[in-house]
Amino acid sequence: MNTLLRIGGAVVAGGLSLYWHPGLDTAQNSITSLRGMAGPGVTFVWLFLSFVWALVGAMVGHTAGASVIFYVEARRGDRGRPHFSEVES
Amino acid sequence: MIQELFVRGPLTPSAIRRSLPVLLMIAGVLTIGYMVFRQLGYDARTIHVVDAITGETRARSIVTVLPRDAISAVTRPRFLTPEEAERWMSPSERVIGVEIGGEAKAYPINLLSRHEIVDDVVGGKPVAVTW
Repeated sequence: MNTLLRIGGAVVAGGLSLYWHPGLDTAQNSITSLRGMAGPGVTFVWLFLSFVWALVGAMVGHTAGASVIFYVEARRGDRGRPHFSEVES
Repeated sequence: MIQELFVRGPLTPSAIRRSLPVLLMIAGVLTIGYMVFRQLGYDARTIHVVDAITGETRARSIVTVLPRDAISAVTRPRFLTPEEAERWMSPSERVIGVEIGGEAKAYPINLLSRHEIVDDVVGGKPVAVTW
């Protein structure tokens, strides 16, 4: 269930990030025009930027899911684990 | 609570490292899916075009299939003499012919289909040959 929630969060947030991507096309145009690129290279730049953008979105979604789990578990009780402030470093 | 997220929660370096392969896979699948989504035109934006003659308004879709500059224009074309061209062109092959000021050049449709635009100078005048 925990894994499902984290992966679900990553998929949803990654998908949403591809739906909403302000500046992605502008970034692609800036990179390709600054380097004077044309042809298939442009598609690769666009693909790479989309991938990085989706990865960041998936990371945010994954972290959000994991944070929800962490928060719920913390509310339930610490299952005997000492609080970090009580652990001697 | 926030501090705990960094100490033993989902934001610890080891938690991020463990989840990275799955996240890379998810991002890859989503990016490929997004490309297919764009290719099929599902992200088309609708605009309304007014017919200048009849005044009728029609809905039209704009589909972004390729990113900007994905089709490379030919900005510095090289030419062959008619004798040299005969070796790799068939006699019935179609070309766009331009003649300005006594200078004549032929641009094969075959190549223009791939590049779409050739920027050139013919008879001392700048021209853009498009197909």
